[in-house]
Amino acid sequence: MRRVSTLASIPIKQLFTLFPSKPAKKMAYIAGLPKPHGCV
Amino acid sequence: MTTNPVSAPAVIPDFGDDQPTRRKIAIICSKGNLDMAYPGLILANAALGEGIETHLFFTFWGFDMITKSRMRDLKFTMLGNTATHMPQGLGGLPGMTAMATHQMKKQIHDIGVPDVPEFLQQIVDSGGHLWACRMSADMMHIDESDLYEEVEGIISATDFIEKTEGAQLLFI
Repeated sequence: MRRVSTLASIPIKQLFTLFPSKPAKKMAYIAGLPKPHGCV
Repeated sequence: MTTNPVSAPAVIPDFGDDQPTRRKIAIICSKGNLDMAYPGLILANAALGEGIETHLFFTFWGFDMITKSRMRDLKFTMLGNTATHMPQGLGGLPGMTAMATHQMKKQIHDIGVPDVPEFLQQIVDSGGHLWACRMSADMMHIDESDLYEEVEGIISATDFIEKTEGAQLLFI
């Protein structure tokens, strides 16, 4: 999620609005990726 | 007459959004070392990523993490830390703390983890709450103007207990 936010320069707040409560998991699902395994 | 091809229903994983989440986590950060600042920040960030209400309470040495003048300058020392597996006398030599701090900051940066102020900002942006301890602030003669802007307030122990009713507590 941090990578999406820093590399695509989308503020974290906006990610939480787009993908409420569990942004990392939801983004991974939409992108067709496995559940994120990193800590941050 | 046309027949629609039978399409399998889309499988959407259950993100648990329908269940009311009353889970709440409060993390007390009481240490001002660079290495001890991160566990609380990482756990808070992880909890927020799971949609859990998170409160961080900074007390005593933990104030270094939210004091504007010091938050960028947390240190790591080998002294008294046997887990570095270095001779203990080495840690006391001049410059060793600076060197160890530099090394640790580099390692943290290399794995893509932000520094403390940036991490706090990320936590706040994710909906986390930051609180400071009243007694520590009084002892160290610190007021809100010395603290990081996103700290919501200096609260007493009683306020903290009230705020964290039903929460899971972590003391770091």
